[in-house]
Amino acid sequence: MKPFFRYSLFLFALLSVTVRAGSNDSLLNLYSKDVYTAAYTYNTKLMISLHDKLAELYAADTTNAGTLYLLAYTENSLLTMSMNPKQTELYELYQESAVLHAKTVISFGKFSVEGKALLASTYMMMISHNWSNAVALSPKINALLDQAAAVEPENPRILYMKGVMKFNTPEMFGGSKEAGLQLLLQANGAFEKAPETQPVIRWGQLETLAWIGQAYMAHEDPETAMFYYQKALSIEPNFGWVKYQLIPQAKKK
Amino acid sequence: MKSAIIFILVIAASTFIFGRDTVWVKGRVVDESKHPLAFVTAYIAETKEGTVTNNDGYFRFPTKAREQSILTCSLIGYTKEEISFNPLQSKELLITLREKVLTMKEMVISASSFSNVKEKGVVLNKIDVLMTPGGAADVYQSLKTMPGITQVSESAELYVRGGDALETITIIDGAVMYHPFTFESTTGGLFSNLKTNFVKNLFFSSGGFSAKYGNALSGVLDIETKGIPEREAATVGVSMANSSVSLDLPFLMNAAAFMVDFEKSYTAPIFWLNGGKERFSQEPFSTNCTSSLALNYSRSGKIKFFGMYADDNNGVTVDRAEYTGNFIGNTTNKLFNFNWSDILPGNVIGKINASFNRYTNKWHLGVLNITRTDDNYSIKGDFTKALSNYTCINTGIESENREVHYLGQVPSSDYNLRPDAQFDKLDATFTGNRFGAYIEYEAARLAFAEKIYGTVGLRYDNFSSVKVSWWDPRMSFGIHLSESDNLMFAGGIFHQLPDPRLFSPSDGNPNLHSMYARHIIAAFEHSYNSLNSLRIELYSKKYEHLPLEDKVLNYTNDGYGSANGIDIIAKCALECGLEGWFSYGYISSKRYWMDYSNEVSSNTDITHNISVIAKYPITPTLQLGLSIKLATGQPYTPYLGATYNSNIQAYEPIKGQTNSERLPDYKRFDIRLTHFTNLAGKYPVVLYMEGLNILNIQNIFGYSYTQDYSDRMKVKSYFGQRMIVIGGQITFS
Repeated sequence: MKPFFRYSLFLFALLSVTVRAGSNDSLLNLYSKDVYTAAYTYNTKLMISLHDKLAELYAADTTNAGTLYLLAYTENSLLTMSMNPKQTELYELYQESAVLHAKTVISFGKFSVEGKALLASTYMMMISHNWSNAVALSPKINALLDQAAAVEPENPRILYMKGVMKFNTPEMFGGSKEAGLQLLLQANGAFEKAPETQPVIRWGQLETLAWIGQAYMAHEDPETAMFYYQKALSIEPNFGWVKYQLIPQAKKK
Repeated sequence: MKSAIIFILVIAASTFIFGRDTVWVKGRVVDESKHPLAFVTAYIAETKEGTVTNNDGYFRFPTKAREQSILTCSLIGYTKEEISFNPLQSKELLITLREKVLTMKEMVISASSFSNVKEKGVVLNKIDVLMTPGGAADVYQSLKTMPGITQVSESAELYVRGGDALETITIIDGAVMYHPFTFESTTGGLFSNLKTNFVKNLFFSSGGFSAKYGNALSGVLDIETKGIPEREAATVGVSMANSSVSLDLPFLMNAAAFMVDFEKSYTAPIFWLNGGKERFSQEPFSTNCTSSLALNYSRSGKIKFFGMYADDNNGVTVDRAEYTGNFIGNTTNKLFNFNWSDILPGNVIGKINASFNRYTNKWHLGVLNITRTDDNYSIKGDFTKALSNYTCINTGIESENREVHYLGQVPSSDYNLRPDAQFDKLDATFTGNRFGAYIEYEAARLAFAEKIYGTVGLRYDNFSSVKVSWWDPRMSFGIHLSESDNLMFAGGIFHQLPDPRLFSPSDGNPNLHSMYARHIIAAFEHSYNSLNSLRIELYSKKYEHLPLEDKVLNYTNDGYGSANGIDIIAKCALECGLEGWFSYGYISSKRYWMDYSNEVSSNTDITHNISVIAKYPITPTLQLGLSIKLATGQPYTPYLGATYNSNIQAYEPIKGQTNSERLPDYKRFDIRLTHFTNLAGKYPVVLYMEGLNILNIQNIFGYSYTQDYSDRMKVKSYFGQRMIVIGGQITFS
């Protein structure tokens, strides 16, 4: 083979790989933005179709941790959406795969910490669905978050999950509204410092602001709560939870 | 060249424009003592701009505001502050926040003897109590799995670090309760009178405790009952041992609530399934009704009325050398408690408590027929004044009027209880009027050494009726070695009046003084994370002025003793869901008191105590629990033989060396399966099956003898055989 052909063939092969990788990453970025939108607007139909596409993408390349992470996140979001009394069937459909995929994410070293945050969040959704899960899952959540915090103490999603856990655990079982708020404020600070693209989807920041607002509401300070709700809307003006539920509640106070 | 000049001009112009337009709001937030406050939200509501203060209290954020604006600073626990400022003129703003409501830090159950870092350390929570296998969801039985409490018997009584059970006091919402048990007999009570559902917080100290607690030689159990619930709830529970109903009824938009818990315990179903009924002449049963009316009349003001009624009845066949008969025991216990707390002028937290407790207990066995009535009126005030963000002064006064009355007949000799035996009439009253006061300085960190914290206190107690008074200095301090490691030390003097019956003019000594103990404790605590921790405590206790039998005066204060040991507890939770704790206690306890002939191992000298509690979720809704308890056998005094006394027609035993022998080691394994489910998708249901002493190990708590003391039989615990208990509860809310 002449050197020209050899080089051309090598260049073609290299380009194919680059283009393929490029197309996957571009696709993932595209999906990531849509998944984010579907999550904060609670658009179930869009989330299900994105989930299905990501499932196909992951089936085609099971080594792509980013795809798997996004897939697990869509399932986690669908569990959140299953809290709507009209679509409780989503829980049965996605709970098992949400846990399985989040666990698999952890096995990818690069996504180990983020995977733990996602798995902890999935477990929390399972507790929200059925309180009796708390006995078995609370220790698992705490263990996951402690392990992750040991590696990345400033990870915003870990701080967020720890804050939510502390805030929502009854005092008699070791919870504390004050300590929960402090962790959520730390999480918010960490989100503000974190790069926009980390990890694949920037989940947790809007929710952190919503929970901080709720903590202030619990302490009868609706003005400060409103400041945080508005902050969330300044990032995403259509964040449904804050826009249609929490702000109207705060205005009633 | 031309383009370069344009570029430079653009950069310069933009720098000028943006540099001039960007206005920063900056400042510092401190408390009244000028200490920086972190995590304060500082914001301008109008422009929706703001940030959070850093650890040094500083904040800085850009603003679009150009006119007079309002900056709001908010931190939970502090009064929100709003200041008017001009963004273009202001330099660094200084905002001072005042503490709004001072709240005492609370915990559930802690093995910690002395600590003001209560979120850290080894803490058991309410779910641990409810789910401890073999613990019967009882606070006391669960506490017995902690180090420092020795496994003297299967009763719920707390034998703390070589001390007698009477040397640990129980306080419920500020009121001292001298008899907090059901089925109280000579071997102690079986369970707590206070139901776990009514417990909000519980602090247990095995020594070195605060000057707040008086007239206690060894330990303190301080219980706070629950306050206003968040919503209405009704819980119904049924098991083979009891049935219960509890209601939580908040009203006045959750500013007030009525809570009630009614429980009836019985033993017939347990005996039907497991056998053992033949040992009882009357199957044990009890009734318990606890209620509370709470009102939060302002954001800081709280009033609570608490009432508890409990009674129990049981009849047991007792084998004694001279006589086999039925022991009949009946008890009623009533507690009325009023609590008020509020923030007083000067930001002082005030708590006032007034209570009345009446305990009536009847025992009948052969010639023994006695009724004991123990009335206790008390009033108490505790006050806390914060001096700074890290220091405060605690002080308080209390007045207690206790009257213990014994009426009936007791055998003239303690080895002849036959119905026709000689007896002495007893109609004795002990009155103990106590006044107590304390003051304590507490620092969460010292000004010159931020890693050191401590408490120093002094208390005074005076029993006017028996003319006994004492001063007790106490102190504790700790060092934060790192975020996860703490080193702590505590020490102090502790006094307590002996058992009231020893003051009887007929067979006691009305001139007895108080017992004395000196505690020295050193502890190291390591928290691997929020769920895994280790605590090691070394302690040395010295006792003086203990009551000692005397041929002339009946009793003197010439007794003494010591207790030295080490307590270890490790609590862990693994990712797989396995969680629990391991505790080990080593003790060497010697005493020369009561009827001892010299200084020997005390009854509570249980050299090694091991408890392992493990819980594992087999499925998300099914949990398996295991409890293992191992302990060295209790010392006892053997009988070497007997001589026949023709006057009373009974054998008098010849005692061997006091506590010179030990009972066989104590071993017990309990398991528990708990299933969590729900009814109609919304009402939580808990079902459980408990296997108590699952290996049916026959633990021995003493010996009974043949008539001439030539042979002995093993005395087993009444509930010590293998038992299966099934139960469940459902909550409607």
